[in-house]
Amino acid sequence: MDRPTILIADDDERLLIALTIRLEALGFQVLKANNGQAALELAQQTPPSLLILDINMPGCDGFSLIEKMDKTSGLGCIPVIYISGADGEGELDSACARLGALVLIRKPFEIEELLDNVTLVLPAPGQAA
Amino acid sequence: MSQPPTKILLIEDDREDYLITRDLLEDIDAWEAQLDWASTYDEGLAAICRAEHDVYLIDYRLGARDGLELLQQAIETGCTAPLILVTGYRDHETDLAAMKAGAADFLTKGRIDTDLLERSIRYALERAQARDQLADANQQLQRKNQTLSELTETAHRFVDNVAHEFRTPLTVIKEFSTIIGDGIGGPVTDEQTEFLRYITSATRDLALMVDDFLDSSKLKAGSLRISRQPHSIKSIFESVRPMLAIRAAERKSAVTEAIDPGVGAVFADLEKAGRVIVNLAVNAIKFSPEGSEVELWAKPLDDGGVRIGITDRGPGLSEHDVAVIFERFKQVGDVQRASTKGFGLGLNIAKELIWLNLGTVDVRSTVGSGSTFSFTLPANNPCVVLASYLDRLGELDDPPKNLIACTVIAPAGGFDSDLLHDFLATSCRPLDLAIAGQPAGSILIVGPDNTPDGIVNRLNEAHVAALETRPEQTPQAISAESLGTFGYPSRRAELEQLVATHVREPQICA
Repeated sequence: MDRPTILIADDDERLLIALTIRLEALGFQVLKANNGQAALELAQQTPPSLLILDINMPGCDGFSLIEKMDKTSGLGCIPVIYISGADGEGELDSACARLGALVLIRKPFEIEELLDNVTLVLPAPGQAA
Repeated sequence: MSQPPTKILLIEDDREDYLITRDLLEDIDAWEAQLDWASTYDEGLAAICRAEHDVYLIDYRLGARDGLELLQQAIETGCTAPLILVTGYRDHETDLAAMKAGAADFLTKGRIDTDLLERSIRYALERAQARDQLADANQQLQRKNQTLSELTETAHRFVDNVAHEFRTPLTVIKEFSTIIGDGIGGPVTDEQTEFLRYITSATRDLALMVDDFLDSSKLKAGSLRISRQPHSIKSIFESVRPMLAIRAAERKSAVTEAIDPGVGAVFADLEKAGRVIVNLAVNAIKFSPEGSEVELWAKPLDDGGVRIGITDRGPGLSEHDVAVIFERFKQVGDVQRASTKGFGLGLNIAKELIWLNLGTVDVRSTVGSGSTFSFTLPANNPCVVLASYLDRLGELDDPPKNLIACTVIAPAGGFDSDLLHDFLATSCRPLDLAIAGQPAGSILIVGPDNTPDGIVNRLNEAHVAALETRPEQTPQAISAESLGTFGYPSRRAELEQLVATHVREPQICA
């Protein structure tokens, strides 16, 4: 059986690498995008099982990405975890809730917090052979 | 010396009076007057609008209209040159009316001689000049003020942006140090693991500082939102336990917890109460010897509120240090002393967050035997929370002027507590704004009962002044009516209607 795919979008290449290492260690297949547009194209090619999206990205941000995906059939129901360095005093939380996001995790997070939320919706397949 | 002549316009329908005035002005030695003459109201007004003269002499009688009207119209059209009203007979009331309308002087014909006219014009011009200079200075000041607040705004935005920008790199540092520490990149020696722990620990310090910076910036801007809800102390302690465990482990220390059995629920913003505990506890751990215990405790207060404290076994603080420790950016004692590093902003933020949670802060310390930092949170009781707000209003030097208070007296059986909490949560934001000195709109004070301990009876004179009711009243005499009660609802639906009308759509009370 194919390993579940997680698509991560963040404009910081280094964070993408770090998260990929963590998620691959749990046995997930990881797709990386450093902006919203690239993430949309990747998701259309290979629909992922979970999205981890930064909110503030150049060009197409995490929110408008989801709105675009909603319009593309089949991509609207992928669960989303948002990560953000902004605080927005609750406005971001309510925007995330409105878009049906699973959770908003604020940077800098403890990796366990992110991985716990990932495995809540997507059981880890374990170390790939 | 050749001073340009002072240009004077006489608005006067009597040619004889014009000639007299001209002769008087010709006799002035000190300066040269150049007199023009307008013989009608309209001609005079048109000339005033052209603003070609330094000073205007206006006759009170101008055909069917009078000079007072012309004077008012001239000022309305923006005339800033001095206007001197001249009348045929002395009349105190007209004099007062002229002064009120903005006349520079009021002269009576027949009593005017050259000296008087010269002095009147000279003084009027001097005053006008002084007023113009003042207006100029005022304008400059306003411009400077504007520039300054723009600069401050820019600085705040800059701090905000920089602080936000810090968060992603901090995440990257933290991630890679844990990735290495977990052996994902290859085997790690014990020594390397310890070094990596230092990196992670320093990163957490930086993350906390970023939060403090952002809070500080929002506090100054008055834009820090607070969301108060009923919480148990247990849930507050639970929310900080993982973070405290991590921080304690870094110093091989431990945080013990003790909740007194008499402690009840509090009405507070959980996240902000938690940030205060983390701030105080991180300091406590940092300043205690390695491997020691830091105690996090909670005790009940007489009014049902709770005191939360953190006791450490650190070096303690001197009396002077205790007095200044909460001042912004102030570091206790010698800044070179490593032991007090990082004490500044965090404690100040803690104090502000405690204030926002309607609590007070306290520090007890003896040099050599540790410190106890503690703070209070109000009981989960609307009456107590509102009393805390009233205390806050009473503390203000400049109480808000635009408040309207309303007391809702609940029926004997009382409303259920959920409803009262909804009211409270709705009233908190305008109260916070009012306390922060911002336009607050109306405030609903929900008094759950009319007993001697009820809200109305807890108001003292300071509160009454703050609420703009009748300051001459004694506290005992303050009735619900004097606070602008909108009604005495006896059913839940009526109460909800009141809130919908007066709170959700705030009214500004003049």
